[in-house]
Amino acid sequence: MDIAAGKILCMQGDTPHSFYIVKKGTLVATYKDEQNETQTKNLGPGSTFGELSLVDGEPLEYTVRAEEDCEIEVIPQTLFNETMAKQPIWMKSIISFLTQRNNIAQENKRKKDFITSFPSLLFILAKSSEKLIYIKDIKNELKNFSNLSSLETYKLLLILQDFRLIRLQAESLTLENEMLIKLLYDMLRLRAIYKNSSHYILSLTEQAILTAFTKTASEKGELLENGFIAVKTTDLAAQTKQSMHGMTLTKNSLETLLQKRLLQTLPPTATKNNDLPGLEFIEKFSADFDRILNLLELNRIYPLLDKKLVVSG
Amino acid sequence: MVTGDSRKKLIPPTQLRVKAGFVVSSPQDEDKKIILLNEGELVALDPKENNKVAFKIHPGNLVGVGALLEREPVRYIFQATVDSIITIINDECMESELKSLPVWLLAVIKAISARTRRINESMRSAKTDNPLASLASFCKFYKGDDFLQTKALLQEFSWLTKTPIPTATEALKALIRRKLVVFHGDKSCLSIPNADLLGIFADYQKAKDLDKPWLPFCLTLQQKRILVLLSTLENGTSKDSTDWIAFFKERHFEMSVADWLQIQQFEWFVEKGNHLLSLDLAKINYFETALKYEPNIKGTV
Repeated sequence: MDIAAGKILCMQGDTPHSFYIVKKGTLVATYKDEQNETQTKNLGPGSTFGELSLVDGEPLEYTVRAEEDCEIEVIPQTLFNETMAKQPIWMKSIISFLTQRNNIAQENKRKKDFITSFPSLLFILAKSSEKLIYIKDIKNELKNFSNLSSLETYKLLLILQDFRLIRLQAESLTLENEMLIKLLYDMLRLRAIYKNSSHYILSLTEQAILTAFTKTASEKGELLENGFIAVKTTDLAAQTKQSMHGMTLTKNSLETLLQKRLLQTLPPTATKNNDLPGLEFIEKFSADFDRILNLLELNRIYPLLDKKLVVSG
Repeated sequence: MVTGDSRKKLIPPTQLRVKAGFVVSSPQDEDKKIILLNEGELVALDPKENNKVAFKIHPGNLVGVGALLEREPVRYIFQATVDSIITIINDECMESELKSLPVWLLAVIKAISARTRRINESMRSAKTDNPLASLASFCKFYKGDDFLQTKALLQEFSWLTKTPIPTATEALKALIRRKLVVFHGDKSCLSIPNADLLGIFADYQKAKDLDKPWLPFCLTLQQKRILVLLSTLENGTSKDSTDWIAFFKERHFEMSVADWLQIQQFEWFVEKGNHLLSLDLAKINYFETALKYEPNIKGTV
């Protein structure tokens, strides 16, 4: 088939069910991404394209235009089917295996890109100085870190909305909990780089005590000068027992929370168990209330995150 | 007798009847082969998992294509669980069969294989094509942080973008050379003197990647002078096109409609309704910074 210079052979998104081999001349393949940025590549003699359109009926990824007068060999699906009918049956199996393997590789890549772009998105949001951000700007920034498509980026944003970290509007989003976004990002960073996120991950006992602390603080808390909230040890012990099925507050159960400096004693004491005085000698416990709430929320979200990413991807 | 007609000499595949328990292929086999199961059942055993059954192969399925066509390593041991009939396609058989195929069909097979290989390679490689632009964009988010740990910064960037540490280090050196990032002490710390400039540099790099002209470096002398004039005005100053043209003419700038239309391409003005164009000082500042630091951005410091 001859094609004159400047003529378009096929358009991105077409399904010609044909395979093309360039015999003579040069064609230019242009690909428009979602932001209408065009990428181009040249197809000279010997170049081929359209293999998945021929075998699997997939749409073409490029618009192909002749740069000069060209000669193209076009293999239509009828010829492919006729030829395959003459081949041993296993040859057909091999081609379908190769096509399937290609589809699997493509799907794996898409899923991997989706999951591994999540920290980048969190990074952009965590570092944002604005509470209201345009989705277009986020997508543009994310392009500096990954090649995630617009649709996939939006899917990641929906996950964050499900966790009530952001609120999506038509063209923008509002950060609902900036501190929690920062904590989540930092935890993922520590987990990935230092293989250690223990500072943020709370045991069930720690979560129970901190939950009791927040309840006590809401009802009987006392605001300190440093912005922390203090609660009486007796009130905390009573709340722990009441809401945590009879659980008794002990020195042992408090030790790690004191070491992580999530709770502090009033008056101040040592944080090591051996040196920690009996609870009867500690008048009050104080903590950064917002930080405790965010940590508890982080520990609620964290176990759900991986699954949510896999399912949404 | 040599006939010279090698295309027609097909080496047929071997058909075998195998008993239950027979190992038809294993990672140690030197000759790679495709195994097509005609009847019976095979299992794939994973030697790395103490020969645990990984999956089953049913009649009509085939294994070993990657090993034979792509020379990929074989991971599993394939063993018959019941008496089975298999077809073995080895190197010679495949080669002779491929030789008999039309050239275009061979090209189709090669193109699909190459495409899969490219996808798999891209999964292992960095997520961005331009590590320099990507690192600059990453660093710009550290606006206001006085000193940053070099190692921690590179590790974080590498984790986010899957850029190998040596590549990230080279990109960092390129930013240091352009004085966009500054090392301190024994290079274990660094600081970012102008985060916005890093963003501008990243935009310049992206335009370069796309082979597009980058507007701040395309200004004529008159346009540069107009830029300086506009930077002295208040943000949000609004006029319609006629008044803007008159404003420039009063200040002795030659200004045709074509000149004016060209200036509007720079997005120095934002449409405010009622045909009013309002001055966007953020954009003016962007162009000014780009021009002021042109040698840094172009890497000719």
